[in-house]
Amino acid sequence: METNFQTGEALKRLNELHDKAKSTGILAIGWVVICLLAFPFTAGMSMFGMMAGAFIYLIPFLRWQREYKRIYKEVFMPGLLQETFDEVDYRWEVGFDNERIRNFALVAMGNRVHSEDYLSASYKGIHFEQADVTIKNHTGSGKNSHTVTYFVGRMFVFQCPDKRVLSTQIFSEHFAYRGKVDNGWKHKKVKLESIDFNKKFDVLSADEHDAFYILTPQMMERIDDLDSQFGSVAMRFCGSELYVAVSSSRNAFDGNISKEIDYLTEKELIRNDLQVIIDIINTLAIADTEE
Amino acid sequence: MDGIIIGIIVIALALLVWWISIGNGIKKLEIKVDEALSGIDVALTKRYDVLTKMVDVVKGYKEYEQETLQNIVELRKGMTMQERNSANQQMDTLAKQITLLAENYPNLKASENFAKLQEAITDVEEHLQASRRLYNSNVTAYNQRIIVFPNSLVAGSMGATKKEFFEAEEIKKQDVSMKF
Repeated sequence: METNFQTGEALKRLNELHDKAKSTGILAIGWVVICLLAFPFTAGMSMFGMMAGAFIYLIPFLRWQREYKRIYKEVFMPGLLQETFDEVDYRWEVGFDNERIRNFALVAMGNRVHSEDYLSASYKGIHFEQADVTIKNHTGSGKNSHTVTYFVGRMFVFQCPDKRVLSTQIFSEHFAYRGKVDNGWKHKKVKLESIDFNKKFDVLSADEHDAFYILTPQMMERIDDLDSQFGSVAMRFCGSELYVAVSSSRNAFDGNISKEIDYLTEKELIRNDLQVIIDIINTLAIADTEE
Repeated sequence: MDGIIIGIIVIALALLVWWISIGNGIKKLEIKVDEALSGIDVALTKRYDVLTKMVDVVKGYKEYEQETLQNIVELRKGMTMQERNSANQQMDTLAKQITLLAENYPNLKASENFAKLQEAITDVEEHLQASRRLYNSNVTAYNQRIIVFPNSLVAGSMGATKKEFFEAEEIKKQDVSMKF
């Protein structure tokens, strides 16, 4: 009863924050329109006005957004995580640190790395970790500055203790900005017997035999299925771990402050985000039994 | 006249360079085939060793026909591909017999030692499959390289001939456990 009351209060607060962001946004747009109309008469003042308006709007907006995010995670995540996975450890403010992301060797490292929504749990006895990761590379300064987004999406680590292999990377042909293994292992390109798979994926391995060992015809089909599901994937088998990176246009487990909240719809969205983990485990048949 | 001689020398040098590079390419592929073949030999030896241990365990449960194991072609260095295939097929038969026997003897199936050996044989067989696929993939590349004209001219002069594939048992081609 108390939980329902707390959830109700939280949802009310989320909608308040949405309303505030929305009304302030409308005001900000109105202000920009006034500044634009004034531009032919007083260009300097108009520009100053637009910048000041943006500044005044952004400060409270970022504060509301942060509060929105916190409440959203507190309302939705604990229950859904507990009902889906075992041994759950979820910390939305933190993610994988830069060193770990570099060691995954899935995506090229830029100089701006952000990660959040760290989740460690187990499913059907398979322990995994995941986090949202954004990697950008910023070069130059001032007007000559240039930012390239290397990766926006989710990264996963699955513990698979029954098999151990030397480092083997698999990249979809569309996967740009690929990571390199920089611990001295020389990776060679491996051509498997499937012409279709070789066309769709690039395989690099420290040991050709291990690449064939892990990439059985069935596994190749499963990776192809995963690629079709997510558009493009990068994977790396190393020791008893499997690292996976899938691109995504939105952050997992995040609400949208610009939309009015609907409890059931949001729950469904998060379930879909959690389902991605289950899909990877089931598709790659990492777990003992499939659903 | 000098121009013609220089032209002939240039063409001859270009042909020589081409000949050497094709020859080297064939040699490199041959080395890869040999490396993959040694991988098969290692996997076959491991499989033989694990099966021998399994037969020893099975003997404790039933007077097992000792000749079954003895029938396996003795693994030795320098076997032909046909001999390797034959040895592997006989090991397939033996593995099936042991599995069937274990089904009839619950105590045997439940034994920790036997369970460990079963895990070991599964792992060894998966490695054997990987070695087989790697070898066959290299053989395909090698055979294609030496057959295609004009590479076939260079291959012929080197005495390179088509290599045999290492066949898999039908059932093993169908599915391999993907559990990590």
